[in-house]
Amino acid sequence: MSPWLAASVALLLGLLPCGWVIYRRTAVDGLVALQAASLLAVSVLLLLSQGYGQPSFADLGLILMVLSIGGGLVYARFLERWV
Amino acid sequence: MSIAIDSLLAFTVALELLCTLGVLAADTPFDRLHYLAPLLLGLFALAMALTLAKGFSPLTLKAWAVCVLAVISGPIVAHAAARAARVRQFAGWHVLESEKAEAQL
Repeated sequence: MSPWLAASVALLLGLLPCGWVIYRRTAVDGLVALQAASLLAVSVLLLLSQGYGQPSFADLGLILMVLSIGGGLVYARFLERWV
Repeated sequence: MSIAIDSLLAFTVALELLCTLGVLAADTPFDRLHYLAPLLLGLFALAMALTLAKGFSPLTLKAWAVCVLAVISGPIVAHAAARAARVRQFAGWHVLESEKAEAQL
């Protein structure tokens, strides 16, 4: 296993604490954990792209980064309105 | 070169895992928000490792684009989340009387 794939597998473990916060804590706590999980997922996609030698995988990371910005802002806006 | 790449990868993994543990361990959303900023540093280390490994390539360009987007959007999303947390906690975005008194001390 290349170091890139090993690092991506290790980073996937970081999604567990984020998932726990999303599942057990308040909605705003979950929003923060969701942002952390998004950044982790972007890192994992970049690592997988290099690990498998497929530059197109990095497009997913780039798109996820863009979508997580809008998603985070929309969630925050709705949470302000007591959703 | 390989040592530098492996070191940057190890730094990225350690930092990002520690940040997620910080998100888990913090008490309030405001405390949790502080752990998002070091995640950006991990992204930068990853982009640097990719640059050392691949040189100037489409993958490294995308990695640096991700970094730039993360740096621009990080404070904006953090502010929006903190504002949402405060509005939910105090039913508004106003300064409390207790906070005014505390600021005058």
